Amino acid sequence: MKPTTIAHRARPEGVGLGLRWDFLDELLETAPTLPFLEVSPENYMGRGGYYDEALDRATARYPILTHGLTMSVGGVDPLDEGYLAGLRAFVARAKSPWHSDHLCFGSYDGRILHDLLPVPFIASEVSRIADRVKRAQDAIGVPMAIENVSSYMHPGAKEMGEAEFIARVCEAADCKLMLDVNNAWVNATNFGFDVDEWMAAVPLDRVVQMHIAGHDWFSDGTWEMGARPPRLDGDHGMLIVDTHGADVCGEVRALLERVLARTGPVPVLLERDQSIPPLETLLGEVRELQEVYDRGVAAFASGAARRLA
Amino acid sequence: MKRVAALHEAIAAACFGRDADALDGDLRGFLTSRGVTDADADAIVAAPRRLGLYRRLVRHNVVGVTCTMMPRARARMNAAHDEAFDRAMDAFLDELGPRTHHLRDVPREFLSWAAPRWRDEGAVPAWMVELAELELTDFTVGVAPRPPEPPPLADVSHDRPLVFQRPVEVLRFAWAVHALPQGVDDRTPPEPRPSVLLVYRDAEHRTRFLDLSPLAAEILGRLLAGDPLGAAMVEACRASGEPLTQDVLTGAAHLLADLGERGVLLGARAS
Repeated sequence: MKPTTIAHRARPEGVGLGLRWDFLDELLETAPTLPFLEVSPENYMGRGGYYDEALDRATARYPILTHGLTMSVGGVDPLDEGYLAGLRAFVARAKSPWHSDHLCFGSYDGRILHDLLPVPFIASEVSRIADRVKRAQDAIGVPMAIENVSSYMHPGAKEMGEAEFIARVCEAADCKLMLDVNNAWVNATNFGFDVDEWMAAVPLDRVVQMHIAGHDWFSDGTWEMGARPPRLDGDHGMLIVDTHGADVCGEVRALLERVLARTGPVPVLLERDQSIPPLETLLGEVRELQEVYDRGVAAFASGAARRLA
Repeated sequence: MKRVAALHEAIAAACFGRDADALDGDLRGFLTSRGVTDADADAIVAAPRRLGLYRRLVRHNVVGVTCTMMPRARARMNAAHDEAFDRAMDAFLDELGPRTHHLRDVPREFLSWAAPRWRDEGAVPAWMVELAELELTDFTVGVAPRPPEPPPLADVSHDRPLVFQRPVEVLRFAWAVHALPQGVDDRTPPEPRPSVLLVYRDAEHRTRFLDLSPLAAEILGRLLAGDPLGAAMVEACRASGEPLTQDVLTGAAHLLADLGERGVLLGARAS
């Protein structure tokens, strides 16, 4: 079964918004200008009633990109064929040009953990996970993009860094990359590496979409939410957790602009899952991010012009 | 893959296992008892301890959705029976765990696992289990899958099965839990009154409950099972020990007309 090509379906540009129950009614009633919405199939598959009908309304008004939560491409359980069949139907209904999910595991021994657990960066995992990505891609009928996740520990002894691991899996699977800019910055800050070096090592030519979000700070060990430390270097005893519960911080916005200057125009999605503000506030943040986006894409265009001159 | 499977098993156990003490105590023993290699255990033990964070994140998701869907049953069980709801949730995660890809379906998996245990052990009063079922049904009927197109319809007549809008269910309770106040902090006990509720989804996608008389419940149960109208009436009266009088026929006609107005009864099956 061959995946369809991206060209068959609209490929949006600009900054879109992840659709959430909290503002679904208002968004569908006011229909603000947005280049696209992103939905998680798990929230709609096999579901009827109000939200199912609302999805039809959203699909009629906006391009939809699908982003999954529970494929468990890094898992050791077999891929769930029933889930993949349902996902194929959902992606077709939403007319998403690709489908993304996370480079992580989320199930073990039949148990679904409903979170994104870290995979070990070891050579033997590259081909195993890549094979699963290819299998999933065939099953759902559109290209797959894998997303880099925020992680708080490496499970065991690592044989390579995260960026190299991502690059090797993408190469072996010949899949796309969903680049989560916030996750990259969170990991770089938590583990103390250079995020620009990290960006130089991941395959930016495979990026079809980016995610951007806010995060929160917690005391490392007791996990009480706290304030961002005045200095991010040194031993401040705090850890960033990828809550999607705050506005996007300045460093992540700046990183987004630098990355867009290298990738060119790919859709960027603002995720907000906790402490969700009123829709108008959220749309204000989308507009701010669109300005960042425009600057990044303009830098890409001028760089491309220089290269052609 | 054996090496990776052991790591996944250890992380899953850290998240869902009943005993979290090992994550702060003998972490190496916890890891090696699950087959994690010495090299991997060395690396994990040498790094900051973060398995407890993953445990919190995972449980926040699955416990949170379960508590959200059964708030009154949880509050009553925890308050009056030594945190019985939360202890059952811990045991569920430890012994079985979610099997569904859909977070919204975790509460149903939990209740299907916990309800028989609660009943068998007598850990909580039976009506509290009924209250949990009522709360969960309110949600699950509201989001039940889109129904298939109904078959061709005809006018209602005694020799035809009737066609109902889906989803529709009949719930039977030994206690009038549906009549309890809605407040989470309310502790009023329910009246010990056998109740049968017709549960359906209205045109605005809201879950509705209709309190049925015993005879109406007998009739509707048969109609929903596909019996023709006449046979359902006769058998329901026989089962209820009531004669099939003109009053019964008139009452049934009113019930069916009411269900038609509510959008629950669509008509009779044409063939």
